[in-house]
Amino acid sequence: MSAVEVMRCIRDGMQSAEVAEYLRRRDATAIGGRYELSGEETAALLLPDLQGLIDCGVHPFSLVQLSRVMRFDLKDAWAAARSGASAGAGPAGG
Amino acid sequence: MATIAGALALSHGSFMISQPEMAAADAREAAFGALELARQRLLAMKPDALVVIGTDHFNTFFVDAMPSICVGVNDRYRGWADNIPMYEIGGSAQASRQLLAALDDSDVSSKEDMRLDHSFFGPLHFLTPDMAIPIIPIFQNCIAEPMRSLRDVYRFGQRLRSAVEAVEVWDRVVVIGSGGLSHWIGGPEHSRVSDQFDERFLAAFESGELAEFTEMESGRLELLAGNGGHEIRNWLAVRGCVPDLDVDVLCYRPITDWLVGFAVTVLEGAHGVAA
Repeated sequence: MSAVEVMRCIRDGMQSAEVAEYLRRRDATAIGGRYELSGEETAALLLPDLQGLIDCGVHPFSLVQLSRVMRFDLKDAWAAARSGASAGAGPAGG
Repeated sequence: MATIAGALALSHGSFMISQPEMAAADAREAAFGALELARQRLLAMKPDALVVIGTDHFNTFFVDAMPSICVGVNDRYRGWADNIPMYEIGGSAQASRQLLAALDDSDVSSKEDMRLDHSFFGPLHFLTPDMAIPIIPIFQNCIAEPMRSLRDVYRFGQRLRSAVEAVEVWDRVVVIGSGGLSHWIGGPEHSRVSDQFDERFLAAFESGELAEFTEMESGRLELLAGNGGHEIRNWLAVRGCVPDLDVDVLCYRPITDWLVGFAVTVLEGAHGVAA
């Protein structure tokens, strides 16, 4: 996984309304057209698979940004990840 | 030639501003009370300007081009509205250049259009809400390795003192360090803080006997204080700058709901008289 490219996409989501919308819509086609990510990388980003992203070298601060862009509570998302559920939509947090 | 009229070192956190109600009422009251007191103590120092040592959270700087230390050189600085209101504040490009010339350090970068995230505007929101006091912002990388060693950061603070004093644009300057204390952000231990680490660090910060921390390896710091704990670099830079001032710890609370081991300190000469 290109951790830096994933992080770049997330950071762009903070600064570009267009990229933010791709992430919120979980639009793998749009993301794939703009960033050099594999199918697995895109899937991990859009699920999002928090532990998978961390394991592949994505900086934890990028997950804070991701939670803001995709509007989910990061504390809740980690709790869900530990219990085996996936991060859902919810109040942005951080 | 400028005089350092005092200093502050304090935590930042965007939720303190955007969603303060996340924290319990007593913690909120203690924190905001301390920040208000800090604001009054800062005003009493009568600063013409502030040198603010902060960091960034992948807003202005990214891993593809991450300076170790970067000084803003502009007459005006904008924020990012990163979970706080959009702010702007004045600066002085001339003062920044005077400081950089006095530092004479090729490892210190400069940037004209240096936007400032909540690590700068967060504390300023409380300390100078009208944003009326101009600043020189100094970014220090506290987020992505390689980071400066804690020993080098303290030494940078020592050199910063004479660099601030070399500024001719202003008379009275207050130095502010923003960040910390312990916090784990973004990863599996998100929202954890360590009051054990924080209290130990505050005691050392107060006494000035900081060898335990200036000699600490970066990896060990992260183990003890979290990835957000690297921000104590900004505290160490302040203490290196003003080792002669007395430290008054206005508040310490481990506020996990705000994602921070929250502390506010004011540094002044004996009896509260500015140095």
